[in-house]
Amino acid sequence: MKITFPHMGDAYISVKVLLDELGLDYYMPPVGSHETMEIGIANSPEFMCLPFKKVLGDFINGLNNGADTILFGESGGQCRMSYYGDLMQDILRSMGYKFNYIHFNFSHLTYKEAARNLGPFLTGKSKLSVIKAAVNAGWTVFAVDKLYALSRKIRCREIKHGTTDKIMREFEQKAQTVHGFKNIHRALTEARKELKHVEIDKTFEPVKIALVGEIFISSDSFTNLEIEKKLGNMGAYVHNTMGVSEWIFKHFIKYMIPFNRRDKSIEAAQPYMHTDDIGGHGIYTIGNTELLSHGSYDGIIQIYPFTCMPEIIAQTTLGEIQRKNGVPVMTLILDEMTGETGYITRLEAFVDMLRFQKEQKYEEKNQKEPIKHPKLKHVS
Amino acid sequence: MNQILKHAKPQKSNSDITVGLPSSMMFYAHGELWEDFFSKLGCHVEKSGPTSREILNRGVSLCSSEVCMPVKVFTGHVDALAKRTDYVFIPRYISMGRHEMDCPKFCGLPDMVRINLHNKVNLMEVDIDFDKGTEKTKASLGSISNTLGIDYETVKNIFVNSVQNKLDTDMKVGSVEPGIKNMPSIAVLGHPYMIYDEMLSMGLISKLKQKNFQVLTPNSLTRNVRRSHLPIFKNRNFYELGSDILGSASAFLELPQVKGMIYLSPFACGIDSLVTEFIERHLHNTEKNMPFMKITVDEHTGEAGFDTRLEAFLDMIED
Repeated sequence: MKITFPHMGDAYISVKVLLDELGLDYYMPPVGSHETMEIGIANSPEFMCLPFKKVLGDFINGLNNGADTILFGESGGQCRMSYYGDLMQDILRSMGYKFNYIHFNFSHLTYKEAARNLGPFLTGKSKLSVIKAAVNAGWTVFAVDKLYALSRKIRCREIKHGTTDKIMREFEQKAQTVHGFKNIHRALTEARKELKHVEIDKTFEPVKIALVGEIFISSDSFTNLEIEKKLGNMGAYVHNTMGVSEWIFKHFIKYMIPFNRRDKSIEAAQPYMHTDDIGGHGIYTIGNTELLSHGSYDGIIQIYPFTCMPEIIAQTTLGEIQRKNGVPVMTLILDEMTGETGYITRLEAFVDMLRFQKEQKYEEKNQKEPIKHPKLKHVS
Repeated sequence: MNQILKHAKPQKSNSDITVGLPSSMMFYAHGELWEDFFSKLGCHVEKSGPTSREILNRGVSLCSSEVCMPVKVFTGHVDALAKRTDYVFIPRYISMGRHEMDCPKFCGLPDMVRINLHNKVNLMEVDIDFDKGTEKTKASLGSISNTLGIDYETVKNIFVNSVQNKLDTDMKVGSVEPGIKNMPSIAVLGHPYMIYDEMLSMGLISKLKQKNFQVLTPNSLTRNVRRSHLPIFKNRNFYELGSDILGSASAFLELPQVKGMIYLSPFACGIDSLVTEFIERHLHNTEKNMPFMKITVDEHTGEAGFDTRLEAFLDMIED
């Protein structure tokens, strides 16, 4: 039995840890491959969203490379993602593939269901080793997201252009090739150490941008055309409100905690949307935009795949939040046809605008000492 | 029931209140129920009438370009009513029954409309959420009771009698005569607010009738038939409209008089992207060679091109 799984941002690192620790045989589709995405697009319905097409491409690549078991998880709800599994199975079977499909719904995953689905893989393994593997994988999710958060902080302030990118590229390469928790752990620690030694300009004040939107696209650097890197190299600090760790926390850990407080961002969204759920992460997009547009960030970017239903609703309210709080919001809609050059132009224009706005604010404050203006670095 | 009516009638001030019902979106499914509900509450009910070019253009100019055409049209309807009514009623459909849910856009519809009209409209809302019980829906009736100044229990009783108990029955407004005749038929599939809106559907149903076809829609079948023919998602949550269409598509497949199927879909509809794919795959797996045409329309669609495609499709069937 050979397992394959789809990519979503940097989640592959922890999935690898889990499968390695359990000693299972698996095949990982290549990270960020245009070829696999093209296959997915060719076999998907036209108006299906981009995550579907990418995930399907990964599956086809996996099955072509000897895998016979597909591992897929989703969080349920009003978004189309709940039906990815059904349609994908249908498409793959009609293409002639024979495979075993393991589907997890994380929002009401019971121990029994997990045991039933994973049972055949875990025969002969002690409970302790399974728990240890799960804990290690969980730790990796959070550690990886933390590392990426650190890289975003360093990148916009680095003195030698491209240092952070180089460290992160090396880390990603290592994460894709090495096996086992120990090695991944070592790669993580090394990358963190290297990042901390990058020479940075401490007086530099970057423009601060918060990234909100659909979780797959905002956390997947391949489909979002490396938005974090691009903005960082333009001298902007990016805070990504969506990440794999966020997802795991919201849909997995939170359900295990008996006392459940209402999410802060859902609370903040209420003036604009009088309901708790509009499917997907739409309500979090609204709430996070509201929470982060009270001066802590200079601008907000909403990013989502074309035809994403929850985010379209959220987008309607963002104009209102922008009017009310005076923080610029830009919406980027991505699909397989998005051209990179036009995308960069829009990002540059947005960062430029935020920088001018920031400078103006400093001038209005009438500071005698000319404050060091946030400078703009261009992508080489 | 009579007692409730007696109780409601003395509130004379309510007859001065005009409640607007936008004749779009789920009005095509539950318009009569809501009309009944508000007239029993003693309000004057005003409908926005059929979609006109003006309403469409107004809606398009008010909404962001990303939302689907039906939402744009709906916003246009609300805008038309906002000037001549005291309140506009927009139900927030979350789930219409067990194992059913609605398009996310229905969940955010009242809020989207309010923001698109720059808060210049008085809205009345109610949450329709029956998947996990009726408590949430009933609690949301409180705002209606406050707005109209009618005691909560009365509103609740009228709601249960005139809306809740009838949601499951086939009360949907349809232009199709009941009873399926044995004559060449075309099945028209799609959301009710697409196929019954003369403007958005470009008169598809009447055009087919002119060509002497019997037109069958999901409303020609009873809810039981639609649900029992579902090829998938039988005991799982799926979009209510999606289940209707999927179920009726496979039921029509069994009717010998159905010569072809036309699926009318608004551009970039999320639910249709799933449903049409499932239908096409289902048709493909059956032995009957059923002609199937998917027409995608948006606010820029020209009628001439639409007619050409329709004629070509009908020619193919007649041959």
